[in-house]
Amino acid sequence: MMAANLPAAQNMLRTSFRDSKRRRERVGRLLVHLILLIVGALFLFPFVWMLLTALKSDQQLFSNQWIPNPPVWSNFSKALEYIPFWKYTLNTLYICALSVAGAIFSSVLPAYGFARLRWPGRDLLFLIVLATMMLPYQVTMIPVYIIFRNLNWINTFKPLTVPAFFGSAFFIFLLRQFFMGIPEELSDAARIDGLGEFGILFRIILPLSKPAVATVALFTFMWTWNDFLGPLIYLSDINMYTLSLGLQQFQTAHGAEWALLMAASTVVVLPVLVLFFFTQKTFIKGIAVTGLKG
Amino acid sequence: MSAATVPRLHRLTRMQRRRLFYGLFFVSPWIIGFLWFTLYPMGASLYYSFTDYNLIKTPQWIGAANFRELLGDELFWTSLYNTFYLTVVGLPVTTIFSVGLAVLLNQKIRGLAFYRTIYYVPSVVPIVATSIVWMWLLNPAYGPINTFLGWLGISGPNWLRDMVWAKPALILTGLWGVGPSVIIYLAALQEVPQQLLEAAELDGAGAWQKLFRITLPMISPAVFFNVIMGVIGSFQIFAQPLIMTNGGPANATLVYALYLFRNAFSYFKMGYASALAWVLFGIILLCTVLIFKTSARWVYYETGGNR
Amino acid sequence: MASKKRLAAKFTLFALILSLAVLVLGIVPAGARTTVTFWHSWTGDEAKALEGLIAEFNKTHEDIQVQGISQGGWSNHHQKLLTAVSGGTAPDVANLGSDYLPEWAHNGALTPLDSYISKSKYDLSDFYPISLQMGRFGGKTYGLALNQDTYALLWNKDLFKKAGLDPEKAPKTIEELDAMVEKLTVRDKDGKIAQIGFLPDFPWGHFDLYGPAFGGSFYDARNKKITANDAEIVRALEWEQGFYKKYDVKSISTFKSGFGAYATGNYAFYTGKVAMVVEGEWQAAFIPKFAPKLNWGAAPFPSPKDKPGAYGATTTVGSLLVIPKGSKHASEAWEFIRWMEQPRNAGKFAAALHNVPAFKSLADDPEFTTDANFRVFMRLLGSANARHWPQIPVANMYATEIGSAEEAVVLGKKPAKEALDEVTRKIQAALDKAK
Repeated sequence: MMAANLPAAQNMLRTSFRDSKRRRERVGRLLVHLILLIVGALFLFPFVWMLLTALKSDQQLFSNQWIPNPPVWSNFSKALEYIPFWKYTLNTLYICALSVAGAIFSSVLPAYGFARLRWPGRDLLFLIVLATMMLPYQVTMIPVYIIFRNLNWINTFKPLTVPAFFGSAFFIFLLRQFFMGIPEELSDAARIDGLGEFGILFRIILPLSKPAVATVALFTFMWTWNDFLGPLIYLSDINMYTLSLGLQQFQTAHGAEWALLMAASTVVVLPVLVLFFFTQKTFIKGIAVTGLKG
Repeated sequence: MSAATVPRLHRLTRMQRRRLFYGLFFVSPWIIGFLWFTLYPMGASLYYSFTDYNLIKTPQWIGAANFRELLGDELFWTSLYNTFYLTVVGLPVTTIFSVGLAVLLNQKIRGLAFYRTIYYVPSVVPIVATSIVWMWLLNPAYGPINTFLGWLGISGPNWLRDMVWAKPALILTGLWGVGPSVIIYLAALQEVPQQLLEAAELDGAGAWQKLFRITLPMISPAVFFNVIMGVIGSFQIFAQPLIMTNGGPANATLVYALYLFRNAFSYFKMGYASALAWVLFGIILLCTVLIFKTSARWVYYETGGNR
Repeated sequence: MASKKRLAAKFTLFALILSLAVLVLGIVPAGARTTVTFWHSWTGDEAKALEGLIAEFNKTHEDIQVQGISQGGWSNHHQKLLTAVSGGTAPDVANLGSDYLPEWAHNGALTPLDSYISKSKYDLSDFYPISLQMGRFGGKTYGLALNQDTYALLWNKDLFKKAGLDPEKAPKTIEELDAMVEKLTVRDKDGKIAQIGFLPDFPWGHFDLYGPAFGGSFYDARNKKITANDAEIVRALEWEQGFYKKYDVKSISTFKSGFGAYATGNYAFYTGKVAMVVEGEWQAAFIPKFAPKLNWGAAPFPSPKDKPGAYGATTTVGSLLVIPKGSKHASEAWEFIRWMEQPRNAGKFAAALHNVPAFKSLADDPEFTTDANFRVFMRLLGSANARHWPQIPVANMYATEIGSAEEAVVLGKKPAKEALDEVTRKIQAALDKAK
């Protein structure tokens, strides 16, 4: 690191230096806003399009007329009646809750084992963890299905929830990366204080990794919420369908009930985005780790 | 990957055995899951790759015939090339874009919650809504991209219908999916110690210097993660080409997983599809190991001595 | 002791009676009524129409209870059905696209219906020949047509009038079509296309129709030969390529990119950007919904002047009722199929879908013939030149390869003959291997 010894003479220049620095910072911030707004508009666009389409009549769909006139608010009530919306929401929430709990539990422990314990064969086993993600699911789908059939789990929520309790390679890898970013001295100090590995994990590592753990929870929730292939293959009882399957009910032989589909999609997506908006700080600034490093 | 040798139990010291026990204990949820849900499907597909298997009848062992057939299959090479193209060109572009975005979203400015939510929108909105926007952006006649190129005096291509430009168009649209990687970078950026940056500032380091000397090295474990996952994901890219181009025009966007899928479920050639899958597995594994080997040079871990 | 024994005996007796009661109440009704699971791909109003028919079947059949389960959409349904058949959890009965049938039948995913048909003396003679052929593979019947699509040429009468053409006269020959396209194509001041008479691959590829319309055939069933490079087929693809040469690939694709989405009011045929299209019978229901002011007509797709015998060509594709391999109640499933495949019931369903029914006895049913345009599609089903894509073991690969070849030729990457020779060679090799 650069030394923080400034010659005394430079102290006199500091004030003017700070002024110009502040001005530069202001211009910089403005620039950041500008970039984020322009690029952000393109990212927000799919949502805007979805919302506007949800309010259109069949004749206005996909027309150059961007703003629905008059807005067809009844599309929303129609969409919610088109499928048993609340039942599907409950089913989806049930699967999501179990998956999130399972993903956190079953990824934290192995990640700790791979990141902060030294044991023979560790790196080889970790490579195998990664390797499980390298085979396209298209060829393992049927054998996986046969396992669940033999367990008599077809047409239950189990194929969609139980595997979550047995570690996901993606999250183990993700948490491993974060755990490896925590200085080893902290663990050493704790060991000297007589803490076991569990104690270190739960008292030292986890509190410092809240953003990462929250990220695991968020991703699991989002992916489970949107997962479509799993529920499609394993659920055959209309009463057990999830929201993502319900949205498929708006597809028709030569197109789709676009307005209704987008209205239902809005209702499905909006709570997730609101949740994200209000909780994004948790998984981005979970805890001030400032001061631990360096 | 160092020490990638199978440990022999009887040669281990008591200390090592204790460590092995601890390690396996912590990893056990994954091991149970692997043995229960993953090992059989992977083994089965490996077996299928040496058989003639049509999804219904019992697989017939045919040795390496599937692998021999694959070498002479023009579409195998086409799809492999297309997939390499998307990975080799797409991954650096996506990585730079998402790191840049994360750094911007980590500035001390107002409305961060709002911005961060916006950039996550395409990751939750149904893909049909997002693809409509792509179509509009890439529209050769009215799209903003070609309009902009027009101002520069360049006549833009008909992106998705052009054999040369369809792949770059797919990469471009892939940028909409950076939400999750940006979140991971943002979480990593929180771990960059503030006083390190302040100290550098006092030493007169500019914004770029701070970025390249401190911030980027500190988040390199997250970059490493996203690059590895990017390689794994990009080689298996499927949904986007299926929806946007269905492999066209004239197979210009026929990606590996799409060709594999057609063989498995449209042509009922699951044995052949499994051979395709295991070749891809080998390629991805090789790339991953190579990146791991180089990681010591560019990934910075606090627990440096641990490896 | 004795009282205890008596008590125990009483208990045993009680338990025995109880379990007998459970057996009688539980098993007998279950044994009397078999539940047949029926997976289908329909949603919304179409699913409701089907549910109505299922309810009617259940009411009239005391021993069978059919349970319909919508899998939400065409490709979802087929993906899930195949996974279930392969995984050994197939439903008892399902619908299947006729374009999926050959691979499914060839690979053993379906149960042949022939023995059921002959046992129950079910009469097949009311089916149109092409409808029946759609469900057949390798000399066996695997599926019976429930509803189907036919394709014809649709034209915009107002645009014809504006171009000085007789608005009531559709082209009879390819030459007439070409001449009309010239008159119906309008360019703006900058020379850009503002309206086009016809686009051969819009709204999607119709090469399967152009082949027979030019008098060609994609497959020689007698000699088991792929004939994609048949002179007439090559001629059809050259015609398509010539179209793109004449109006320029780049100009056309720029023009096309301004088109609105299908099945909305902005579909290019509805907005008058394209004067003629090859379309299916469902447009008779779509147009009143999305473009009620459109003044349109339907006619068979034309044929070349020197091939008058090919006139009246159409292609068809439809939905079949099948018994998947592994069906646990195949004979009950057949009872349901047999009931659904009565002209009255299948007709009701086809009418709800605005599709063409597969039965000759419905040819003059006012439900399908009141609308003059719909009647055109109905009549095409009985045409001697009605075709289905070859029902061969590699049908899907053949269709995919033809699609790629068509794209490559239109983009000017390959001459038509060369592209079709390649397809012929590749698919013939795959076909020979599949036997």
